Amino acid sequence: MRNTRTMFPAAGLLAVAGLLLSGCAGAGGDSSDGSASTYNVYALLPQGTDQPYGTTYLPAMQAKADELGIKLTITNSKYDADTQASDCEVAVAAQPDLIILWPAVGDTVRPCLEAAKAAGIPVTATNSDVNPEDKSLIKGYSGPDTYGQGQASAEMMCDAAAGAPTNIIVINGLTGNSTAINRHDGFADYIAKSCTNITILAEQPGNWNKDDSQIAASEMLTSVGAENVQGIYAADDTMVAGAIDALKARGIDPSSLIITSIGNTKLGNPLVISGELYGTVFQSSSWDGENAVVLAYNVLTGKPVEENLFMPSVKVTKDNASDPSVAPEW
Amino acid sequence: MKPDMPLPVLEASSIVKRFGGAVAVDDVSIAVSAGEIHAVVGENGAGKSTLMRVLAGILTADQGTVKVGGELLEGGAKGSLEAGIALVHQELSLIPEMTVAENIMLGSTPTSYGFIRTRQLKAAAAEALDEIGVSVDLNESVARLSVALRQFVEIARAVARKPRVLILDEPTATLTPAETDHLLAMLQRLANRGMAIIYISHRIPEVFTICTTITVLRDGKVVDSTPLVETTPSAVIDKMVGRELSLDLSSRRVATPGALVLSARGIRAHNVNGVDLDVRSGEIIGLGGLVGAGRTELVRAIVGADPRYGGTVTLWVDGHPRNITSYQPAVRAGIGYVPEERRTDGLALTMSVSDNIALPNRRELSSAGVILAGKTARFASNLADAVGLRPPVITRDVGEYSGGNQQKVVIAKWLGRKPRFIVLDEPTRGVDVGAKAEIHRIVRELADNGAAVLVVSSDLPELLELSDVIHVVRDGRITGTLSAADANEKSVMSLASGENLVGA
Amino acid sequence: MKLGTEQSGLLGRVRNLAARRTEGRGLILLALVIIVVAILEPTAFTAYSVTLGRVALIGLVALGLTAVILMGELDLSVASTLAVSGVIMASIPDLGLGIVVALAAGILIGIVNAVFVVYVGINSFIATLGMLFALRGLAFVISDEKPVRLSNIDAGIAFGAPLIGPVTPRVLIFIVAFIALQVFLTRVRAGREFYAVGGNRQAAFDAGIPVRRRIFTGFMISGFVAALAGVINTLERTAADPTAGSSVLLASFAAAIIGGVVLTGGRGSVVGTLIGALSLGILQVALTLSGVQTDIQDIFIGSILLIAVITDPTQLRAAAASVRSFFQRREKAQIPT
Repeated sequence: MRNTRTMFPAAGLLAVAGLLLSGCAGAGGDSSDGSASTYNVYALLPQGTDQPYGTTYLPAMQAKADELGIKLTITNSKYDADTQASDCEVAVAAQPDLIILWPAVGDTVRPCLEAAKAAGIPVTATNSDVNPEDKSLIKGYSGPDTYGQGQASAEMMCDAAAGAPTNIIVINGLTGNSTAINRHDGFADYIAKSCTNITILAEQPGNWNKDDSQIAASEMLTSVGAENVQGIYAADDTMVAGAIDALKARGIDPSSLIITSIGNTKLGNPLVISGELYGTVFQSSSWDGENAVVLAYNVLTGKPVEENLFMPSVKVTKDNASDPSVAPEW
Repeated sequence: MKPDMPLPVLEASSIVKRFGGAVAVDDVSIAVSAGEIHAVVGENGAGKSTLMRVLAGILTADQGTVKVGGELLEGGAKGSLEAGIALVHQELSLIPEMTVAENIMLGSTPTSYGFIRTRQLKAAAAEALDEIGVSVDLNESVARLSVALRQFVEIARAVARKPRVLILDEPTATLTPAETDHLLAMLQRLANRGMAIIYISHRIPEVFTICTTITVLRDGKVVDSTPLVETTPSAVIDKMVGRELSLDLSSRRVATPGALVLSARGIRAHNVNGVDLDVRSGEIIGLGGLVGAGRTELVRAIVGADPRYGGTVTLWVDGHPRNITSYQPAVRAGIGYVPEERRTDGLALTMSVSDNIALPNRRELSSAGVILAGKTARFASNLADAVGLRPPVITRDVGEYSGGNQQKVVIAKWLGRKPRFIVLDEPTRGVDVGAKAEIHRIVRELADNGAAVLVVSSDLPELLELSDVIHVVRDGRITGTLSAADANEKSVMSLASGENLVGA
Repeated sequence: MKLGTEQSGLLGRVRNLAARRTEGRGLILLALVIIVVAILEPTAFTAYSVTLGRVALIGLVALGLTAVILMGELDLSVASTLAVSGVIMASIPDLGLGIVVALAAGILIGIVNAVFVVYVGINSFIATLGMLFALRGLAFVISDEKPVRLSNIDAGIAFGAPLIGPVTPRVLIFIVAFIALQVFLTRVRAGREFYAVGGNRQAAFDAGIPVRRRIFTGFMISGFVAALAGVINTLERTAADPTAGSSVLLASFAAAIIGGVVLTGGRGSVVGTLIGALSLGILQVALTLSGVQTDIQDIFIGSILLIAVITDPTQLRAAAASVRSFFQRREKAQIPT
């Protein structure tokens, strides 16, 4: 065994040179092949194939880029703000034609945006928008309309209630998170303005996870009395699954309530088909990835772009849940 | 005490030090005056090192006092250092990655505002080296020095403190005769300048060369303390062992070597530079040499416990040659190895005697992967009896036994496998006299029953008593081979130290 | 009679120096990285300000860590210290006061670590692992689980701008920290004694070195430097993220190990750590510029780390011999018996 072990270092030394050469050469070769690509674009993402959303987001993004003649260089900061900031420095130094930014931590991207601006590199945002005060530093945003998603979810609940007085409880995302705030506002604003027969009895954060949501739902059902609740809204499919479990734990049939959420994920879609979840709003990761490139292309080619390129908030209920057009992606 | 004797610099009275239940130092008093070289001798485990660690403040005595210049010693190691006691440890206590100069001045580095004053540091280190008459590059890192030079750097460190009392614990164990002479002359010089020196050694001739007073310890007690002129080497040795010592050659077996069992050719490894070795059935081969000569490295390379850079080892199994390349297959083929460091390499101290004995014999003691408790217990207790474990309680943790008994457990482990070839590295180090005799008996029985035995020992009488043939190792090579009839302490030592090769 | 030999001659001195240093294989790796990157992705050097920034990001925490590792201890809490100090700083409206409190918090964390290791007697791996979790939790509690924005965002953005040429304040602080630690560990007695504490703790104690005080100093340095990195990150990002530092811990250990710092203590240097940080930083920037995915980058870094460790000089010698004997054996096998 000792003898075999001493063989490794020698092999290791040879391996290091090989590794380095192959790593840099593989990708380096692409960059020299500039004839097919018209534009160089860096995409600074906080996730990739390490997350379900990113796994379907990336291929759609790459396919669109190939189609439009854009050479993409993609980084994944794994939601570490420092890594993304450093990736941003690298991107600025490489002087690409444009940077697509999916903020890992929204509050920390201002220096990156300023640096890109100083270098004359346009930036677009994808999936998660930058803070309102930073909007002037980007050319546009493409991705889910989080306010519109909340509104779409409210519309479905309103349709299902059909004018009858309905008391509901609400489970929100992580406090302070911009997506959580926007979805909540979209939902609550619509209810307050256009659907006054619906009353929100209680609301609590479920922190985007199933366990917290189940506990929050359970507490609210106890405090307001489960018999008084005719509906539940949760800000995403993962949390709604927790709320449904809370109902089942009390022996309440979820299909007897009006329950809506947002996502149409591989978790949420079957719940709609089974009837436990009345409706959800489709967030398409492939649309997201594809249109990040579309927006970038439009900026690069000088086409007029809107401030926001919003993903359509397609409502998914039992009627259309099995349609291929809304097949869950993540 | 004679009236003209100067007042002692160091005076220890009625020191008692216990470890758990065992009394390591039992009511010892010792006084050393300026200019005196005071020898402290005794067998392994007599309490010499413990006593010195108490004097140096590293250990705190359970009873008794130590006074330096009439002042009571306080404040642990630091207090003793400040009072002027410097101890040169038996085991090296240098920092391998630091330079010679830094090591010499370790703990007393000259600084200004916290910054090291490099020039002053080197000057002081150079002065200390000069004082002991050794020249070595001050900027060399200690890791790259020979063992002997490290020993001198260690002494330089003690001397650099300008101590009133210098204690040396077995300083010559790793030195050649020429280096030893140099050291002894240097100590004489220091003593003439008024330093009090305590010199621990088991090399009696050295003691009689330079010392003025001798204290003999046995089992933690002072058995004799007398001016050297009033005693003789043989009287000292008698007091050390408590009996008349003569080399017990009568018990030597008449060896009847059988077939070749192990044959090593051109072994090269770390510290081993090309060794050929043959061991026959029924034969005990002894490996002699100084500490650091490469004996342990050699045997580890032979059994495959450490990587070899080159060479082959062949084990003859029932007439068929088997190539030995690594340890696990070697053990399966019938090689046994009792390592030097039994506490770390040879035993699982927190496991029972029975578990330890069963360890290399799991295959035989289990059925379908399940260890058979009854069979294991019978197996272990037979072996425990065979090696004379006392008390023979196989359920006790090995860690609770004394060193001698621990060593018996290590040997018992391998006895159970009936090895064709067994290596014992320092089998009786730190073992009491009774256990030592028993271990010798076991080793002889092994050979009588047809095993090929290789023994590494720094204990010369042991080597002479056990071996049929002695190979002497120096600098990773076999520098001489002596048959039982030709070997004596002197012939082995001169080959081991390469005395005849040193021009000085 | 004189014993021993004095090494003389320039060649002998150079050979001695090479044999004594622990940075050798780190240096070889760095040279390899530089050559390959220079050929295939020279942008990594033309955009050297970016590369410098990345090296400083990886290297700063690694420098503090080196002080602890040299004493044979570990500090796993550095990443959480970075996060918690950033959050503390951003939570205090006054920028100057925030920085002072955050740095003090770093030192305090070091003291707590050292108390566990020295007085309670917990193995430093376990003690600082506990602190890693506890401090991460504390960062979440203080920040209410969301990023804390700096009250003075403009100051943060100004901080991220280069001072002279490519040198941003981060790079400058990194250089200052490097020089300070290098001087401390080679010229200051207390720092030099770190090697003694790590190399042979009993001997250091016997020589009268205040071992406990040295261990305290080491953990305080490591905590302070981690907090400093937290302050710099928070300023540059204009907000403190309680989840920050996830990539820092492993990268800084990797930098130290590649640079030849031995985890059991006593061997290594901050120069080595600098070399390790340079290798990692250049490699990461080059791979990012080449569009190599993060996951693939991690495979590279892991491989480099393992290679750095298995190409230890003594291992190499054994390897060369075993290759030789392998071929010799083959030759012998050709001869029919």
